[in-house]
Amino acid sequence: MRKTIMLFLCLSMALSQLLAQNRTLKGKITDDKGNAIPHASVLVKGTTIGTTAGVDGNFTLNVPPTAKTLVVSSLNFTAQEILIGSKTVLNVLLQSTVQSLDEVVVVGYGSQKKSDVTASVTKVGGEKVANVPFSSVDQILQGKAAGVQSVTFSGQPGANQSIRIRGIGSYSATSQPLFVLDGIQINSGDLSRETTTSNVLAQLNPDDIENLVVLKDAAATSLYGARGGNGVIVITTKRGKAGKTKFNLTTEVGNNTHGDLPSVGMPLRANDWVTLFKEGILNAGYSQATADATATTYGAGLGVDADWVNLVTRTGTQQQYNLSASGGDAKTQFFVSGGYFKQEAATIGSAMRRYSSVINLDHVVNSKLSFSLNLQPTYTREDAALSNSSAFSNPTMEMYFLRPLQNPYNADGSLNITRTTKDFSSLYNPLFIASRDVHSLDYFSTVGKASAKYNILNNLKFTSSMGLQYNSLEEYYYNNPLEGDGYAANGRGYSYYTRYFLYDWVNQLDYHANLNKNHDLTLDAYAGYEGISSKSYLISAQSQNFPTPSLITSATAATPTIASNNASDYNFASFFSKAAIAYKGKYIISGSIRRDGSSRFSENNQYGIFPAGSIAWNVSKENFMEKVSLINDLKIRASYGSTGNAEIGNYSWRQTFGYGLTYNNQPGGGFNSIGNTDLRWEKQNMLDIGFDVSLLKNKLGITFDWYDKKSADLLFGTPISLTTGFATITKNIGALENKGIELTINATPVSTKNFTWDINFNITHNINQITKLPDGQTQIINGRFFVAPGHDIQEFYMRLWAGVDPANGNPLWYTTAARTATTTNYNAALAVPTGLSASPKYYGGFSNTFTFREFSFAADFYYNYGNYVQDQWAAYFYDQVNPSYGKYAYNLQRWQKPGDITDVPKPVYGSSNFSSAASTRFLFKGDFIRLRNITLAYTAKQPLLNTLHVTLLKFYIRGTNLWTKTYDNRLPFDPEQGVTSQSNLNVMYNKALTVGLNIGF
Amino acid sequence: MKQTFLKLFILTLATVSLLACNKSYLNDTPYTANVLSSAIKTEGDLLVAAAGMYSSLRATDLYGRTLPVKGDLMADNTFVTTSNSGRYITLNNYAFNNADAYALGIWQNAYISIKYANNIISAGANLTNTVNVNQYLGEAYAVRALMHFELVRNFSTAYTVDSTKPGIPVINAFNLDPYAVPSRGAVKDVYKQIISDLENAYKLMTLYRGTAYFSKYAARALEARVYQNMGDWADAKTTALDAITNGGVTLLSSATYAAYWANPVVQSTTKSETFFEVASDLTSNNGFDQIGFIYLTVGGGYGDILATPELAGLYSATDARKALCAVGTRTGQAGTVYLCQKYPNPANGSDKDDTKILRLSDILLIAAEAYYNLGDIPNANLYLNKVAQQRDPSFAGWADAGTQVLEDILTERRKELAFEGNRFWDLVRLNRSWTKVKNQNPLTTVAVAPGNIALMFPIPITEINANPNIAQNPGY
Repeated sequence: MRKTIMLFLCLSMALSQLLAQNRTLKGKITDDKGNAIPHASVLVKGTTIGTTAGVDGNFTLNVPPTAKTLVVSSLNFTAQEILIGSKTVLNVLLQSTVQSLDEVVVVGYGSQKKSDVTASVTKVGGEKVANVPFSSVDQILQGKAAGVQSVTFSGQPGANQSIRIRGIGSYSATSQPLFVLDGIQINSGDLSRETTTSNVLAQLNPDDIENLVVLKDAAATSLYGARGGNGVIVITTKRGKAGKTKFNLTTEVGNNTHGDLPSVGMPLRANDWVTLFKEGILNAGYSQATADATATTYGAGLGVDADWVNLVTRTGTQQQYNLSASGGDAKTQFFVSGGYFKQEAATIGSAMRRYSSVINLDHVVNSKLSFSLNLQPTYTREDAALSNSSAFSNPTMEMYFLRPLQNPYNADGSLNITRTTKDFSSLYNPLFIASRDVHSLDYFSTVGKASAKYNILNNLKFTSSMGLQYNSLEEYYYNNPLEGDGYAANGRGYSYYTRYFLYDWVNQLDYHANLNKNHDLTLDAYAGYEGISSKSYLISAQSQNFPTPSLITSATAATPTIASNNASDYNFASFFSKAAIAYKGKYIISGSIRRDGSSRFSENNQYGIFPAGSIAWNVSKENFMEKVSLINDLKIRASYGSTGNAEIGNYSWRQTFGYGLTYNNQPGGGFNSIGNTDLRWEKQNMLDIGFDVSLLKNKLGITFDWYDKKSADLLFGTPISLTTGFATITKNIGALENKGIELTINATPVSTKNFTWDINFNITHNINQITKLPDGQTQIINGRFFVAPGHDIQEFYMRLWAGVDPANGNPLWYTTAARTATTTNYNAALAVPTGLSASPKYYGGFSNTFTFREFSFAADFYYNYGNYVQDQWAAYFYDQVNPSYGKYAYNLQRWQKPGDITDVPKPVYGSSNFSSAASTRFLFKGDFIRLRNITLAYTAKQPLLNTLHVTLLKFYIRGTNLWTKTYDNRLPFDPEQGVTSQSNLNVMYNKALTVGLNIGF
Repeated sequence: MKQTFLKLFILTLATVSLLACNKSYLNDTPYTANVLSSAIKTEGDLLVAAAGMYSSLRATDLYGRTLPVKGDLMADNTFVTTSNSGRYITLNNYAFNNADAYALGIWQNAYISIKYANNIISAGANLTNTVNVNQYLGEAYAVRALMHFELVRNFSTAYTVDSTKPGIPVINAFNLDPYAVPSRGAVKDVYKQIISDLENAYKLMTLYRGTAYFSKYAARALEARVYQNMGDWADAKTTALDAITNGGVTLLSSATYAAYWANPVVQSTTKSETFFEVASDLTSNNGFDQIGFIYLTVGGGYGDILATPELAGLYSATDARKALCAVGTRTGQAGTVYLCQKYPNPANGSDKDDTKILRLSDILLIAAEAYYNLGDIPNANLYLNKVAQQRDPSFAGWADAGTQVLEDILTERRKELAFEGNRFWDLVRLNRSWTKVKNQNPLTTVAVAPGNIALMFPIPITEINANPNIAQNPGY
């Protein structure tokens, strides 16, 4: 082939030289539907000679005799090079790059043309994943895919991300989706034991990812059977393509500062803090002298005014460098990459570094046999800041808990760890802790896969692939002996080694057949067997009593306190099959089945069968649609099928005799788990109806889905007679439902020669309700949530706040659900289901991209509407119930004199009126819109690229999380507080400002 | 073509079925627990199961704290001080409902211990009858009897009041059916089972493993207590005398009495005073739920429960037991404060207080009571004074006649067994009325008379909801 081209080139060169004179080329530029592409650029390759096509797609160009190749390009179309040869009329057909219906999508155990897909899937790929300032790929999903709620709960680099696809589908098992990386059903989530939060997906460089496909309806997820119930996210890494070796270098540098804190939630500074403190003492009936004296013991009057927010934060650096090479020939293709990513959070002690690499190889042996190999070794180091109140060393907690009167420094500039009331008697100096303690995770992860494909016949192939995932986590948590959690033990060191090994072996037959003579009735089918095995191994060691604060290794410590190992395994053995019949590309009917066996399922129910069926009608391919020029593509889909949730615990079904019941220093054991020999997966049945439409010459694309996902056989602890020696037995008994709609709109409202405006918008509306609880139980109070039939699974349950009595400043609560009577007695107030949920009613994202010549400007937003957020730490930060801690600025709005209308009660020092105890007073509207990314980019075009001898040159400035709009002026913190919408003093989110450079050659 | 396809399909199917049929692939067993059916296969396994069974007796709501606390708090020996941590208020005020946490705790934990005992009895039946195996089996029978005894006392009418009233479900087999919903037989049926278990225990046990474990004569001593609660005085006398005569347990001298209570170490070979106690030690204990912390404020304890001045007033100046009901201080409590000193080691850095379940003094007083009821007043006074004069060497001894002898015995029992959870049961089995002190200075009280619904705990609502066959006690 190459030779032919060369020959052809030489010939044409000879010809043109022979002619040696200018000539005129004419032509029309159209898309694959034959529609004219207006304002396309036509350029003689390697020169500045060119023109722009007209609105009708026609162009005329005078070309010199040396001209050999024309480059035709237009926005949203793949540029094409055309050999001029001897032609004078050149009609050019450009392929659209806009998400049209004809791209290929990986769905289940095969890939399909998008027009043949009968399932509800969303693909996020290319630009959106590459070179992002986020530590893991799941963070990129925020606001990018309809139906997907991706929620951050911590600004810790490398933190786990909560993902809910089409709502919360379980009560006691997880609702996280299954992640499939290059066909391997990986162990995902947080595998660490001591680290505050970690994430398997943070071990993967987003820059190495080709795309993510979110599988949402049963037509796609039921192929994953007992593991597909929460949705599936299929991640595909980049592979090489035959051709010239392409290098791609991306660099990004910048810095992180802490996310915005609402002014009402800023900790009070010294003057205001002392004012409220003394006011509280006076209101408690003490004298001014007592107030002054007490304030003095807490450090008032010494001129200290510590700004703790500023003290526990910093400007963190953000860097990443990625270099990849890809290419190959017709037989062998490769993709090789190396990356370095460093992110220092704005919060002290919180950082991550990642060294990643990928080798993906494909080799064709002959027309029958081909191989491919993936190898993705990665090392990360995570330094984790502590979270919530379990640790008095958590900087985010200390930022609020410490008084502005506590001086972080001694007079000589050293860090203050004096143990007197005014200094650090109970809470620790976070600056000292950050400088001495270690809280680290060294994470080594490798994903590898080898597969072989054998074409038995032209239309029948056999594939066997063995995927491996290896994660080893080395954690060390050291508390220094001078200050903090290690003080009492004279220094403590906790070492944890955790190893997870998983293999996923798939053997599969793929078959294609033409069922009639016209070759327009086709069958595509596959069937396979999959074995998945995961083994974990855990070592724990603890020592205390260190000889010197200068050495942190626990081998130096005198007293070992824990030494143990443990392990946990699971296996799946599964059969799957799928078949689709298509007629003229118009009507597609598809069915699939999977049979899953698992070690997690009881002996009575070891195998589950998960079928699904779906149909699609490509309406636009009907003859009668040819005249409807408005519609370019229209497909209507419907699917119904069943899936399961197998995250029910590796051994929960077994009747076991456990140990650890030590008596009189002798080992003891007993019948500790009643198990359930009928225990099985939780069950999901989903109906999905949707359509994909492309309008106005593909300038407007709409995807819509309606779904009804019924979850049944949910695990609940069902009470049994205590005379059995057990209180509950875990049974598959509950049920709930998620119903909703999803809408995605991609539009290009303006597209001219030099200027384009693209819009992407998506919205999801989900309604969740419990439909069945175990017999005899009408409601379950799950922490702050009210779980009952007809109610959202995350409906807040608490006392109703009735405000502050203007006459005397006392707190009031309602004693009835109808809010008819109030009381000042917290215990007499009625706790009720509030009707307010922690789950949003609507969520999604939208982005605008403006491109003008070489410059583009993009703004990505994501939003959340209809949920409420609870302040779990209100008792400490409001009023004077716990007077010695830091306070929110909102307290300044307190009641001061009769007639004051406010919702902050009269501060009373050490009051037992429960004014700051949990109630709807501390539920805030969780609605927000966040500017996730704002990017200004310059992308070089020809002829500059040629001059610089590069194929890609892009320079950009990006701001991340720069702006957030909230809708509750009482909200003291950022509204994004995890799936449960409850503040837990986690590392604050970060705002980043970065500049980047992307060069391809 | 068709053939090739067929061949390959068969091949694949074969591979698939080969793997799928491999049952062991899907059989993962846990690493920190044994599959129940294979857990007890040797004598050593049985020993481990026995240790597990004893450790369950340490539960906070069994001998860890609630049982010994209740027997004094709901009688006339102790009360909860006004400034308290909120524990045992419902018991102190005689105001509890069917959701009471202490009633639930006793019910739930006693049946857990019974489950462990039944597992040992069931699995041990398949082992060779060695001396050790029989010993552990006997211990399991004794524990099963003990737990049924506590359950029937706490949740049913006293045997001596009406033994035909509903008892508690007897669980005398290792039942794996999680949905079993047993009903309540009569009180006397429960006692029948208890006696039968104790006779078995007595026959099977031949070893002495120390005070932390049941032994032949500890089972005998328990049997004497059971007969005492049944009012079966002939059997009470026989079993008590057997334990006293043949058990080899020696009575403490007045000089060593306080040291005995201060010492948190269990006896492994000696037999001084104790027949059986539930052990706690440095690594295995109830933390802040240790019984010592409810009486004392040492080491951050709650110090909620104080002795009544009436109890403190019973001890003469020369009584060795006076030091265990000593004057102390308590923030917020007016008047003279008396503290229980029988559990002084909750904050001890090397060992923790054990809970005495069966002591020789108790058995001597049971013998005295049996003699009294059998009309042998001289022997009644003899056994009564064995305890009374040993504790107070200056005491001339009891020498009353008629019904006063019984009153003397009860007083002596109250003094000797204070803070060990005994007094309430003496009053209940004799169908007495008494005045329960709720608060001291100012004094508030509850008049308790036979028929008071609080004399029986309610069957926990959790059980009622899960078990349609169980009847609730009157008044709940």
